[in-house]
Amino acid sequence: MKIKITYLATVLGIMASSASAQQEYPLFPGDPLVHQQWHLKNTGQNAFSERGGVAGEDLNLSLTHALGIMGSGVTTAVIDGGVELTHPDLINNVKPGSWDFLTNSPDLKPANSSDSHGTGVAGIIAATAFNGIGGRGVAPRAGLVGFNYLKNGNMENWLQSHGMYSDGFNKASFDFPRVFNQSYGRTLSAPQRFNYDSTPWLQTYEQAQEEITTTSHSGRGAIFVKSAGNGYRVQSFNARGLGSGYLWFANRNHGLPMQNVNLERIDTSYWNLVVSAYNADGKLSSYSTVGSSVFVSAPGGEYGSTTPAIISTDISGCDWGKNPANLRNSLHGGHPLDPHCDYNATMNGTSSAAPNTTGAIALIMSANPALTWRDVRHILASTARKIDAEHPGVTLTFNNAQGEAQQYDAIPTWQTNAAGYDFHTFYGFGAVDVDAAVHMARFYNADRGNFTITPWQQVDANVTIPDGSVAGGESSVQIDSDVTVEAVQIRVTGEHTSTRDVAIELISPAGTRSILMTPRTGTITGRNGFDDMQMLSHHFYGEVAQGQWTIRLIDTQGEDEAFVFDPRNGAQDIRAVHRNNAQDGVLTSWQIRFIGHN
Amino acid sequence: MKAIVLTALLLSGHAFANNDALVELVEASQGAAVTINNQEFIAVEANSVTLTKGLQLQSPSTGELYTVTGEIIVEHLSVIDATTFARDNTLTLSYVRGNRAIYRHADSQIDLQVLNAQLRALPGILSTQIGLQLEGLESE
Repeated sequence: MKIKITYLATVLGIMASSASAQQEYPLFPGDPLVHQQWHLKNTGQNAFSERGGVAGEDLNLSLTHALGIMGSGVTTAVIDGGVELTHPDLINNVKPGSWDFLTNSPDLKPANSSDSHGTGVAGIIAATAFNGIGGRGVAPRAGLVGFNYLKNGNMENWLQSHGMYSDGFNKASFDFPRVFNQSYGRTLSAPQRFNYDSTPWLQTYEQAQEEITTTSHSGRGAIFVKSAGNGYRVQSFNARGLGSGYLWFANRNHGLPMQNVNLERIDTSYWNLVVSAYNADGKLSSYSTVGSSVFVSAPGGEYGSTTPAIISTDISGCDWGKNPANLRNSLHGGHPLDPHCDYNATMNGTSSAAPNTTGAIALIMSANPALTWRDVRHILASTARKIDAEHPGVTLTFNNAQGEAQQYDAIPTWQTNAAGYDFHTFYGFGAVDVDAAVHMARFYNADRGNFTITPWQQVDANVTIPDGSVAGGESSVQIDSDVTVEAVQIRVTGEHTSTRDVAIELISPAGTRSILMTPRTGTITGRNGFDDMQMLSHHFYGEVAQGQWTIRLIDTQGEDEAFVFDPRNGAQDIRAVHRNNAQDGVLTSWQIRFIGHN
Repeated sequence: MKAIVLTALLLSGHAFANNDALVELVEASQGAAVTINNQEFIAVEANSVTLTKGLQLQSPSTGELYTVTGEIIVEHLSVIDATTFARDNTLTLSYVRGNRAIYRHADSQIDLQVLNAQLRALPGILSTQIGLQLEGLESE
């Protein structure tokens, strides 16, 4: 088999100049589950669920694999719960450098029978190919290290797991990652403050990620991939006295997301590359959090019962991992293709979309190791596929205080910015297209200019945000900088007694309109307005900063809304109401800065 | 200090069709006030303002929950040797990289506000912060 594969790869390599990234190539056999792994190659297979998806809605990596580009030379880090490093489909890719923060040792392993998430994430990235067992990773020859930060979180362990190894570590003894996968996050019920003085840990995080991103690997750097979250329809909520549970609105929240990525502060950091999830039908996964700080989208699937989830490694054994708890899926419980229950077919979430992207980045870096972190980001943005191209967007209809119907274009259709880049609130630049990205990587010669981050520019606004009116309140600023924009960050301070009602949009000098905050988020405790709330948008990629930038805040609410709190302890659901506010808000001030090049 | 909680306020004459009782989010008095880095917190289920390892704090404005980790994160001049600094101040050095170090105190009941202020006042110290772990982080 190896001879045949090597021969075919050589032939394809010779033909590489004419081999098309748009053409379909078969995946080599050699792993019994690979032909059910729709995220690698979607043929409409059901992936052990009731029905399959749409052929072609996948990472498009078959040519890359056929060329033998499988992630060699690139080590990835799984920052997660425990990872079963001795799993038969992972062990050959494990590199030195993992750490178990529970036992304070390099012997990282799952803490218990349900600590399976990290093992699933690791398998999506780099499960071994052609070994006759299980499935295959996106980058099946990439290296793996793991850190169970989620099992014992503090600042020391955050720094260690995100590449800031203590001077006590023997740096010569392990492979330093080029890609860090963070399949974790939170859901928020109020806007948060992004301020280094009051939340200095954010400064520590950002300084660390900037240093690793820009200076590691002799300046070629590394990339931190981050999941967008799973809060579109339902969000986690912790109520004092009632414990934790899930929260959703009875009106299905008008089809709008409960969570926006810009609510989670670390997702608004430029140093995280945030990924949303799509399913096997090529639509947004029903749970995926969205927003303007999403960079790209990748397969996350659904739940694996009716429609496919992701097939990946599971903790070994039929008594551990997802097998005993998730018999809803026909793979589980000792299927002939997985007799030892070492795999699962119900891995999902943006937790899966992130490692799919991490694996894709490993392939790109492997195809051209000279690429810098900025090159890789540019390649991803330039080659992403316009998925779900006919998506109509979401228009919110609401009544104002006078009972008059109002309409607001809360999530636009796909838009093309003034620099020619397509962007969607759901998908960022689009679905990761590995073959197109690797093709661009192999023949890459773009000059990305000098990277720069402009100083924050303060704007005093004192603008009224009328209650329940699409008119909104707006404020503008003239920018003189000649920076070519790669991302824009905004910080907003203002008074508002129901932040859930508020949409925030930013309009560039070229007229591109980016929705920074979708209205009707689950910020039900957001009664204290905005205080240095930071948001990030990639929507203006390639545009010029110079000119007038306008921010608009629109209050979209005019009535009470019912929601449900579903306690995790199994207690009865609690029906609750979010009270409408009748006060106007005020945009007090805002700040803007540009990340880009000149 | 107040925190946001769900409470079973029966709402009468409400517009929703369902006859079930609805509850509403309200603010209620909870715990003692603590200020860290000029930001106010509530000590969850504690009336003491002594900041010790393991104490849970909540932001009254956003509802975020934090746990005090027992760490003091220090940035110091590069001429300061972290090991020596730890010994001189009867601390345990748990992390160091360049001029950033993380220290802990053997006594888990020590008031970290006081310790933090003492360390910040020492010569050669550029900044200090009390270690807080943001709760609610989940696999996604």
